[in-house]
Amino acid sequence: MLPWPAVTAEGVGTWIAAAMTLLMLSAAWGESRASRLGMALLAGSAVGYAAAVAWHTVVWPRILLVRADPLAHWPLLVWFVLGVLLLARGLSSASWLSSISLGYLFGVGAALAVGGALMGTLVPQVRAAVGAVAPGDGGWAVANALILALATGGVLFRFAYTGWSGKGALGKAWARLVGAWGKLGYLFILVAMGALMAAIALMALALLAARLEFLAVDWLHLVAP
Amino acid sequence: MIFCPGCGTANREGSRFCNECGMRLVQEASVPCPRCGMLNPPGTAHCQKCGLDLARAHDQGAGQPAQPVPAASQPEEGSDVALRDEGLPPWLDTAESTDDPLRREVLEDLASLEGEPRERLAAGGWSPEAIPIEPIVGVPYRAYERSQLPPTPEQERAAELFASLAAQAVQAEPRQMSEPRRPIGLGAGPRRVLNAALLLALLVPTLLPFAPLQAAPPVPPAVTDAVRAIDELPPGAPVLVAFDYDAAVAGDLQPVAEAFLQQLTGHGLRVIAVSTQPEGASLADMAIDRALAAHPEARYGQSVVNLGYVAGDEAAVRALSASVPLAAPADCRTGAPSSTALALEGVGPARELPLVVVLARDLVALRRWLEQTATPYGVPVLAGVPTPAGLAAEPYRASGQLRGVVAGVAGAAAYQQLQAGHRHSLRSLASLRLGAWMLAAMVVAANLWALVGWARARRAAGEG
Repeated sequence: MLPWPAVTAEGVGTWIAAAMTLLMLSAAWGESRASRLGMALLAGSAVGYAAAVAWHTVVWPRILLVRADPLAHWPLLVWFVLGVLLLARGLSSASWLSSISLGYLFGVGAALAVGGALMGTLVPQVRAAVGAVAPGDGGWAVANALILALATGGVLFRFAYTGWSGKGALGKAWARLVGAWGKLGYLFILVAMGALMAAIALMALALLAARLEFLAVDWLHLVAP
Repeated sequence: MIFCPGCGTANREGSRFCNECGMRLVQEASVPCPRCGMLNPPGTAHCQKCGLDLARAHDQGAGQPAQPVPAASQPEEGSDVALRDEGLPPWLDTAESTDDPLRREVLEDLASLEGEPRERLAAGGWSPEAIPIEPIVGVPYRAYERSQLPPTPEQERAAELFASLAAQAVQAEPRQMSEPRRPIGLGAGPRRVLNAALLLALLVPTLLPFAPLQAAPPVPPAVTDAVRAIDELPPGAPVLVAFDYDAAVAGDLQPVAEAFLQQLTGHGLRVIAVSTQPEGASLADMAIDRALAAHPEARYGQSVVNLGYVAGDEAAVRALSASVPLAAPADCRTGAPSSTALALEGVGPARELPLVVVLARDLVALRRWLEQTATPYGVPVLAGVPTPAGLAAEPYRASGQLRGVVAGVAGAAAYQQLQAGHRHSLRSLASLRLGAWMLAAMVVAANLWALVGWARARRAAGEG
């Protein structure tokens, strides 16, 4: 075991973090008052921390800027007013005032999100998919593109078009083809969901391993960092 | 409007149950109880409210069986004519005698009315226009509570039967109980054992290094591209690192962040840390401390600065793209204005930076940067994401919007292979490997257990 460091603010924080971690890990033994206390402390401290960070890094520095040079930073006053109007949400008689801020907030957010999704994801991804196979590409690129096309079409047919029943010989043949393609798409969905679930389980394991490593290394100093 | 026969509350047309007392509102033809006024559904033998034998009551009273009457709110065509001809509604005429309290009360109510209706009533006439039928249907039941009514013979017989049954000692008959189904989940004991085994599997590689578990993973091309993109930058170039994740994914993403910061500070680049998640500011501090400990030549404020949380999601990214010092006006650690930090010297809009590293908690956070900065302005972006988002980020790398991707602990371990002297993530990877093997073994064992149980149940069913 390594020597213990001197008691500092960081050391106290480590002990508090270790206690919180143990409270949460006690749920592995079964749900108890300790684990519920840990969850409550976690939720409360997360909200409190977010509020403190917002004040410390968002609001207060801008107040200082306005106070230091109001003429240069006057636009910040507009945002302050909009922020204060949000507080009117809690007053029944003046709650309409907060609609101004909320309208601005949602309007800007929606405009940026929609525009970004269109020009930053949809168009570039469609362009990349169309140009996935160039004439000079090798066999693997062609195979990849083929699998991509098969999977995309299969998943779409599985969800939307497998219910079609064609009329006539050609229609029935098309219906059979779509049905078979849809079943292939279902297999792709299963594989994708399985891979996603496995990745999520790995992420949870990584989080658990990190907390145990924290207990062993940073708290108990059983091994060197 | 439908008036409840129980409490008189006016309910909306089409209501099936009273909004006030919950009583069923009979809208079709119904049989009124001559005793309490309850409108019973057609074919009802006993009144649903007071228990009166309706058929017998009507036989004894009017000498004819109870006839369904239209609902209060939906009088049938011709009912007005019948009322006018007979003077009173049919259900009132079927009351046993004029001594009936119900009939007497209704007549008193009607007699209390003034004007023409009263005169008509005195003359034995009836005016449905003057006195609509709804209040008449609603009044009687409200006027008479059940407790004030004498018990019917049926009620008396039922009370005697109940008393005799209650007096008898209850003897439970032996019943053939079916075998209770075995619960699917495990009991508390086995569950605790499995939890303890999993915790041990994750903890042991940390305490006792085991070489096979710490074998270096293969390096994916996406990781190689990320390392190369950083190596190509000239020393002293500013790099924006976005810590857009929180504690929920820190186990998977913190090693990635540390790997990136180790290379950035080791290469002599200036690191500007920001976050669009409140918790990202403190996670950035932790990664910065480790990087500074590994590279003593780097100084906080000169080589690295943490500008903290920038609120606004997409708007925050846009604001940073327009001007980093304006969007993040203060150093999160020291509180000093960001314009005074040496690491920010000459730094303006993020869109003009040579590289942006985004450590995103999921694909949504990553896309925020790709859509607001990388694609519109052509800024080179590297991504560090948790394991599940690694696959989802791949199309963006294939389209050229991402220069490189490092996903999860495995990605961090692969990344650190390409850097000399940094092997911290291999320990985390060893824990993850043993834990994953343990989890897989549990899944297989649980499936085998269920399969064996299913086979036994089938065999038992076949023998039975």
